[in-house]
Amino acid sequence: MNAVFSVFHLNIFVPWILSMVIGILVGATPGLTATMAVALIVPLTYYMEPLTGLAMILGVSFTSIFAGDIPATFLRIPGTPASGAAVLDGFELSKKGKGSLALTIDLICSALGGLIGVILLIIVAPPLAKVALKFSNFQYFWLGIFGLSMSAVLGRGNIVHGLISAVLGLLVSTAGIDITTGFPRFTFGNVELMGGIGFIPAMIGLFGISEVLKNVRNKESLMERTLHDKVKISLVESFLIVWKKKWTLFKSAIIGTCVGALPGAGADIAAWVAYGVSKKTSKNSEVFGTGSIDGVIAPTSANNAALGGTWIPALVFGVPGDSITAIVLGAMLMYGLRPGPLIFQQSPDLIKGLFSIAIISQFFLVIVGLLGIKSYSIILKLPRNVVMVGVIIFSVIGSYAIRNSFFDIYVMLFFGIVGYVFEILKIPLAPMILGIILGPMIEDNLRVGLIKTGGNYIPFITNPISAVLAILIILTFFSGPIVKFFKFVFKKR
Amino acid sequence: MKTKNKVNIWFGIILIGISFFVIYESMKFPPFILAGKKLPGPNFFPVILSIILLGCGINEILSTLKYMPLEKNGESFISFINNWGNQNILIITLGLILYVFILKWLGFIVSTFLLASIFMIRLKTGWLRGILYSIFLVMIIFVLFGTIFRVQLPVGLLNFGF
Repeated sequence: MNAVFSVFHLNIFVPWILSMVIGILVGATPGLTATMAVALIVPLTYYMEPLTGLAMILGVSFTSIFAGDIPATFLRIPGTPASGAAVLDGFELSKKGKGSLALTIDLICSALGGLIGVILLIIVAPPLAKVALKFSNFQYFWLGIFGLSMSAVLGRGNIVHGLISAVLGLLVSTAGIDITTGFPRFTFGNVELMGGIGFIPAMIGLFGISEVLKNVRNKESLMERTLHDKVKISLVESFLIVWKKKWTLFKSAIIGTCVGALPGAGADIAAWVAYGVSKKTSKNSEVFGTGSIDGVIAPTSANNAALGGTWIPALVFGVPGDSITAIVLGAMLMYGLRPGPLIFQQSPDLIKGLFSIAIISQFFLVIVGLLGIKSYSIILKLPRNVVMVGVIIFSVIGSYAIRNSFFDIYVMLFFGIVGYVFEILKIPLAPMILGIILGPMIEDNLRVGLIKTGGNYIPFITNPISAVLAILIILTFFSGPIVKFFKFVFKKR
Repeated sequence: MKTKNKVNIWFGIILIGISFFVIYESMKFPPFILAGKKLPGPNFFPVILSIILLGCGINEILSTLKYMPLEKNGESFISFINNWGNQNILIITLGLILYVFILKWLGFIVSTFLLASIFMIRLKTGWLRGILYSIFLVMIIFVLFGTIFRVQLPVGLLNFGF
């Protein structure tokens, strides 16, 4: 119990809470990622005690991942990449005057998802990390394809349109220096393209600017207030709604933790996979994307749960689960700690304190998050025309800020126009973003795997984990016809 | 009947065009040979994707033709341009392209204030309100990005960086 009480010392508690407020500010600002929030905090922790520094890092990461959902829900601009999937139903609810309802549910799910992620981190860290380490190129390739196949089920309607969007996203991801050979592909002599097309400007353009372009066509709606929340709801009422959907939350949080535990697959992929699985397994899958509560619960509980998952390989094996834990590992080494199996024996008090902070952070997240939602909704009482200009300027500066690159502003604008055209043609945007994110992972693992086998494709399906993933992919696409077939066969009998 | 129009056919043609272009460009990439054995090189993945895209493009055209007749009463270019909403889209697009140019010369504060004011006035905010909101917006972004998050906002040739 001492470990729990020790975290309430003022020298830990005050910086911890301040970092959570900073997390809200960074996460809710389009273009600034949770990784950036952690990177901003780490230099401030140089001269602090290790537990204080780690408390700040944990606090800022949990709040910034949630805060990314605030502009995603109200404005359709994901604050962080992990909020990409939260746009789908959150924004639809916001359009129906239920933005605050969606975000309060989102907040509860983020906190509960985070809590489940941390509990799983404490309980199953070693066995899960061992499974994750068994993944080779073949399994990672299938995992990427599985994530992408989810995008086909994410879109409403035409699967071919989902496929077009995903393939275009994958093609975009091939631009830049080829990692295996070092050859520049599709750069056309442009130095800016050598590093590839950044998915953050692309995401801001696809979701944010396309929404602006759609809005500025209608003179009447431009004069209205941006946020017209018709549904006011208390925290307790929101909790009761979430309680009715507890299995969606639980399932998504477990998916989030497991995906987070795989090195290289972070909160963003976890959110998309959880959304896809929830949609596919739901009895009312047709309401996903139209303002479904399940569509809010699944990605928001998964992305915060994934944070707990990313700490599993980081703490147990010293292998970062994502970019945030990569910075955390650097910070731990800076504090004189050596992440790995021995840390549990060498610094038991620190580990207990760390777990206590991770659990208590979820409760503070609710308080700080509510303040964040309230502040944002006050700003959004302005007329839509003013907010739309604000969105344009924030999108521009947000895109520029990542690499201080003017080129990224053009990338954002290009994808904004692409997003607008896609909206007209009723092509889903989500698979394209997922294609850009997963492209390097899929291509690298496919090619490195083939290089290892000398061009032989057989090992891609003979491994048990690969086979399971391949079957899951087939089921993702063909579960409908398979179920119909079995129903037909059993009816005949 | 399912409604599809000429836009879908054009979209299919563009997809086919993109796939041929990618295949053509990929052919210029060098092969990857390791220990005398030819292995998947830089063109391997883009070519696979292009073939899938080619199929999707053909499918888009064929499925559109299947749902003939095509919509004939499409919007003419003149009426498209004369539409206030479409003009806004063009102004925002061109404004942002121009903005990047002026950003390099005039810096963040002046160019962002100009861009925000023009957009606000165009979107019927009113002159005075538009200018006041623009000043407020520039201040917020400057404090948030420039001061708190230490992002190096462009100062331009006039060195308006404060």
